[in-house]
Amino acid sequence: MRLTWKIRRKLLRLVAAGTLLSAVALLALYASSEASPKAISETKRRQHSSFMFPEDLHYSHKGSRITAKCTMATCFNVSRCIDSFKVYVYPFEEEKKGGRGGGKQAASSIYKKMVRVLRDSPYYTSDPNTACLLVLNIDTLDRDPLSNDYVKRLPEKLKALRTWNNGRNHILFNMYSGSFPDYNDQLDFDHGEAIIAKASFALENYRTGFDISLPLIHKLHSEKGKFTGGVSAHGNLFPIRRKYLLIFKGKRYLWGLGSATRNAIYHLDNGDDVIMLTTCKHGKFWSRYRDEKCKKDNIFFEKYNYNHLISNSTFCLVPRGRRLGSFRFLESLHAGCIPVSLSNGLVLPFHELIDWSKALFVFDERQLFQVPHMLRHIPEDKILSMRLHTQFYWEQYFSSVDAIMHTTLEIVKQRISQFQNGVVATASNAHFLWNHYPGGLVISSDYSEKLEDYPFFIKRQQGPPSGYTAVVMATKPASKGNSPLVLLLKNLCNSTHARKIVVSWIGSGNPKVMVPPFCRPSIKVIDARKDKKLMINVMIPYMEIRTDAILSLWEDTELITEEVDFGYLTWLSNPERLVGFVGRRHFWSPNQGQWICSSGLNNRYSLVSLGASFYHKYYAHHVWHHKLSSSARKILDSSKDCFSIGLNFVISHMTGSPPLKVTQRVSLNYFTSKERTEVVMSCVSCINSLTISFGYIPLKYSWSRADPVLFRDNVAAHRKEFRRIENVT
Amino acid sequence: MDYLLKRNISCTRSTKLIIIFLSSFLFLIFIWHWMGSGFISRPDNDDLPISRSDSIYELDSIKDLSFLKWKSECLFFTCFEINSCRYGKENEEMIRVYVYPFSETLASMPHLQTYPSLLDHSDEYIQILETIRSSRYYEPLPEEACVFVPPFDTLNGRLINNRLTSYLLNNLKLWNNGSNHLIFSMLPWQKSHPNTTVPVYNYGKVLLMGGAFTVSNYRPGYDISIPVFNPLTIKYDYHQYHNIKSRQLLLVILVQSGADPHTVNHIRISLHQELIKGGVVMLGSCDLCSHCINERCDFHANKKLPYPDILQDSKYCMIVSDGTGRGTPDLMDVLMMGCVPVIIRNYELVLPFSEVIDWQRFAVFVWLEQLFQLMPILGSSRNGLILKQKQVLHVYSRYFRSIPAITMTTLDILNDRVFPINAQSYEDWNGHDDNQIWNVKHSHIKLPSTKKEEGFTAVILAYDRIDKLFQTVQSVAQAPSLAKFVIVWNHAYKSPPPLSDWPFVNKPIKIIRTKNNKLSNRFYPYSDITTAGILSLDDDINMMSSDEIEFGFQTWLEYPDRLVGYPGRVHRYNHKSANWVYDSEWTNNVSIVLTGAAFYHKYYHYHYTYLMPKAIRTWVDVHFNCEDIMFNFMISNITGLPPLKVTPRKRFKCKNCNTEGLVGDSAHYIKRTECINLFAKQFGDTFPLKSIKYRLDPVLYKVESKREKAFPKVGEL
Repeated sequence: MRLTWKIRRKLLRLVAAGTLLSAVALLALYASSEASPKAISETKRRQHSSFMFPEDLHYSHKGSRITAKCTMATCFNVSRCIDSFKVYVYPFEEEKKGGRGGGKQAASSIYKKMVRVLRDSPYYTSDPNTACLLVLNIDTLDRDPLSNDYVKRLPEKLKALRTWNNGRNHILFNMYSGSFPDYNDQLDFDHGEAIIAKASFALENYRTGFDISLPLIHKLHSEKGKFTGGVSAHGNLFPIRRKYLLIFKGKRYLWGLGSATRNAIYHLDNGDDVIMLTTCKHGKFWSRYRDEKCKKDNIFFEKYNYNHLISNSTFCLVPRGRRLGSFRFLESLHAGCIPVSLSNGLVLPFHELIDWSKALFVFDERQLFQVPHMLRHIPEDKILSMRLHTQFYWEQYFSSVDAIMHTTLEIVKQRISQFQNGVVATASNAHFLWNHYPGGLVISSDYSEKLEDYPFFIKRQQGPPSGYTAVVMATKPASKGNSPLVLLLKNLCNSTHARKIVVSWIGSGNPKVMVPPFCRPSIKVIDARKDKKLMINVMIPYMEIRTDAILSLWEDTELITEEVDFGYLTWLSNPERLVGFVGRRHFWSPNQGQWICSSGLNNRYSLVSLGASFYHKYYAHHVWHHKLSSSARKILDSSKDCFSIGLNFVISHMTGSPPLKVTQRVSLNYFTSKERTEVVMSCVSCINSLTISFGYIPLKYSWSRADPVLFRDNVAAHRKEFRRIENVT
Repeated sequence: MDYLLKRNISCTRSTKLIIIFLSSFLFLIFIWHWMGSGFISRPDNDDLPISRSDSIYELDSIKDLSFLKWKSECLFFTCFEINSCRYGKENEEMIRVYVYPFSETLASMPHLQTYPSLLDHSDEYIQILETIRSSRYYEPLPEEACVFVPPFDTLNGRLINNRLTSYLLNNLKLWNNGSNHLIFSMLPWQKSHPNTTVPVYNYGKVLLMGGAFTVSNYRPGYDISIPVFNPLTIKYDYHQYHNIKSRQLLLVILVQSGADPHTVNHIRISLHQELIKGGVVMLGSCDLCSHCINERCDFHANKKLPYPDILQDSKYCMIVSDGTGRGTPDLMDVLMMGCVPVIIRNYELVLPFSEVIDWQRFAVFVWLEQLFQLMPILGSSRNGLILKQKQVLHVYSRYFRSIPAITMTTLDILNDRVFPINAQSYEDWNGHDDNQIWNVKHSHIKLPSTKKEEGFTAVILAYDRIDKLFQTVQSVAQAPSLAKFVIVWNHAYKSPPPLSDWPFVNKPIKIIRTKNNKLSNRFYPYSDITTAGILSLDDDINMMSSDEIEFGFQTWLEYPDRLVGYPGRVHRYNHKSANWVYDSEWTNNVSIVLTGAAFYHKYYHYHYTYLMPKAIRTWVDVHFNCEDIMFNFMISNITGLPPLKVTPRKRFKCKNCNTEGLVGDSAHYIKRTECINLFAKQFGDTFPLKSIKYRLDPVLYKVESKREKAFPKVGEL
């Protein structure tokens, strides 16, 4: 028993020691597990079986970021753009030498257009040191060595630029890269850290958020102006389903790059509503590769007119060619023929801001044979909406080189997200602004983040009208009670909706204006002579204007109170238009070979005089300063008479609408006939120079005027709200 | 164990000893097992397991690790097999997702069954697989599927053996170099790859659903950036934290461990004043509690603050990360607590679901270089803040709030890529920009201008008043711009008169017989209406001169998106009875023009037929009234503007006829008033009708002029 007890004790000790040891081991293990997060995770994992552990929240990752590709953070100096967004263009050789010209051709016609447009841009600066973006004086559009426009010895030329700085903050434009036979999408020179704005951009080379994808632009593309698409011109918004479902007319590559798709397209042709016309004729040696089909193809190819097809088809196939981009893209967009892009890897132009799903379809080239089936099932209202969007995008962002270049600039600007006027320029509603009327080139999100601050939107919850600020330009003393200015002021004082009257004095001596003693709105005479050289500052004393509506007046304008109130109420539902009392008309004089203004009575008008007009302060406060091309600004600053025409141009350019004339008033009075001729003369010179600057005439005609609803109706006078207007002449 | 020991107390000594012996033995075995499993199932990353069975030798012998390579050049059209996704009938056009069954998959790799770690699935991964299995995309048959999800949990890269996982994936039955396979990886970084931000699970051609992308390693259109779900802090009752007003702090800055000290310092300097004032708080992990979930420490005051609750007190929240782009679970906390994120642009993150979700709508983006300008802007933008907060809630609750939400969003994105024709629009994903602006809601773009030469189509609603109809046709036919008549013959039984009976006019007449006598028929987008401009007429409008019609058309050309008509009506609010009243008195206002004589764009026929709530159209058809009022509501709701009345004309029929279209008695006005009130309810808080005080007349109307007037015959009442 004892022995056994002893043995038992020994055993017990052993067990105790064993347990102790194991406990120690356990402790040690636990301690070691403290040090190793692995073991912790094991214990914790039993408590909760989530994929995440507390240490994942504070995991210190010691690795450094590897960025193989350029990004705005690594290859762009953002700080150069924070205070202002300016663009510099290097001067061309011949310019430096004093316009000798001739000799070597400096650039292709399209690059010249681009450069001219940029130089005339409101963002342009002539000082490379203040610029955010720099544009080369070397044409990089065509990098196909077989092409005539190919610029040789490019790397040397780049090195010679003093401010090249390995391409930092530069933007390069390109239409064609690579050459026969592989058409490499990458540029054939070292572009360093420059942003590449390029057509036919392939996704694998595109640096998202850094590069910009452009459409392929034809050399005959309009330089400036804003033009409606083919649907307006042809009047073919309807029928929704056009004669053809899907068309294509182009080359059929029998071999080589891009032929996989191009040589399969003809299979879709059903001889009925899917017309695929392909020709084997391309290049010098096409006949070497021709097949049996070529002869038949070529006959059919000639049978159909491309313009006829494109405006009679619901969808247009836009397949890749040798390169990814194609002229078909802009052509079908213009024609309102909904593009069906078949170009694997193509980065759609300006996709950063344009929501292309609203205007086109992108299919995988591998799905070619399913395309007609899928298109057939698209409902009519979707087709209509898409067709409308093709027209909208075309007009706003593609209808001229100017629009394309400014969209490019706006994209860069958005990325930098400038803070200006205390607003985040990268507006939270960028998608809305770019994909809805009036579009991102008309609205500057750095003006206001609130849509209701722009004239193009109507506020949902409308309070009482906020009234207007009248701005009267005065040059002559008006100290007598019967002087036109004093009479005008008296009438304004009685106006229900006037909030403030500002007399902007630019006459000689101290302002001599008799202010009516009893005036409901506040009235203020300011001496504007300090700013005299800039007419705009006289017409628009910014600091004084708090209301959305500005009423522009001349000192000799004659208006009665009812007219002004009626005009204001009319403006309220047309805030994007210029609403004036007296209309004029422009027309082309074939004899004189120029545009002419008429001031007399007419059945239609295209201009209203700023001697008496309402307009939105966005035009004055923002557009006038930040959206005018430098050539337009020069014209407007140089002549006070151009102010009227200029604002008409700007507003019609932005809205595409004519101004609106209110009441039957024929003249603003007080013009002697001599003055009137002068006004007409200055109108002529303004219109013609502004037309050159804008690149087109944005003015539109209107045949109607606004009258009070019961105007001259056979109703008792007391029932009419604006009965005095009936006596105005 | 404790349980056993307790029971032993009552036992005899000898048995006690034996039991102690046994239990300690068991205890040791347990410990051994526990340690063993720890080492075996959790090999330190790429190190091979200690215990080597035959299968492991086999794994070891794989020298060709090419399948480990990340296919950075993968693009959707080069690596995704699109043709395995079926096209067919419309309702079948969606991706079909197959989930490998776990046990079967393992059974196919018998040599690996000894790996206990393979069985370890996090709750989240199980939830992902279950969500897919119960979704509409699920396909149980692998041969029918076009997207595949492996059964191995890859959510946290730190926890898995890289080489082993690669091996397993590569042995999946339908692996095919990973094409069409989804790998979910929320925390993809690994210790063994400290110098890369490329998530190392990009085996072959897999589509990576990753939580750690920057523009440099993200393959656009291929990978999907997903949020890093945070199960440790999640509050499923997040709605209650989305209070908009009572937020005391302006900005909370969450500094992550590993954040670049220079950046932190730069921020501290840029926001120095605000940090002192206390409107801005900078938080990091606490020194003594680096793994704490529920607290963060204030850099400045060095005090502990409850996390994530502190985010609820701040209007804006900014995350300063290490800049590698690894996804941070904090971002989800920020959204969950209704805080507007401030995103540092310099990191160039690919934000979760940014392919479809517009982060600009609810986040503020800033470059570090601009920080000093940030505060005044955040402080002043009250309106923007409220909109953004609303959008944060909207987006969080739809796409980020739970694992199922995240999983479904991922699949929806993939589905949209494969079937772009049915893809959801920007507005479907993000909602409309509710900016209290009228013309926002209908994705309205201005209708394009029309050339006068295109002319207009006169659409006449006819029933059986044939004499009046013929008179109307005859008078309207005089208008030079008229292109065509479309007669909507609304009589179900009576046939329209044969064409030979119709008055001779030099314009084509197309008669459309409708099935039922419904008022909505007049607004159907018939393909016979070939012009954009429509002149809608009742069959008895026979007093209009062609000058009036031409002037109306000309005006519509200038205002293509408005309703431009002749008979003006007005609505007003009766404060006594607290309702709207319909009025046809000759007043100073116009807010309705009747479609008995009005021009408008054919676009509105589509809108009326396809986009309006069906209930409203049905109501109009059932009550056989007010289709014209409805049409006014609809157009004003789109444009935010009133209709335009043209010309002074007030009467449209012979003098003895009624002035209203259908019935002229007071019952008629009561009915019309009812309509307005009913429609007002339908349109909710924004009553669309608006009134104006002007009409449009020809420029030279009632003006004495020697010049020949363009529309001389405008002016009769």
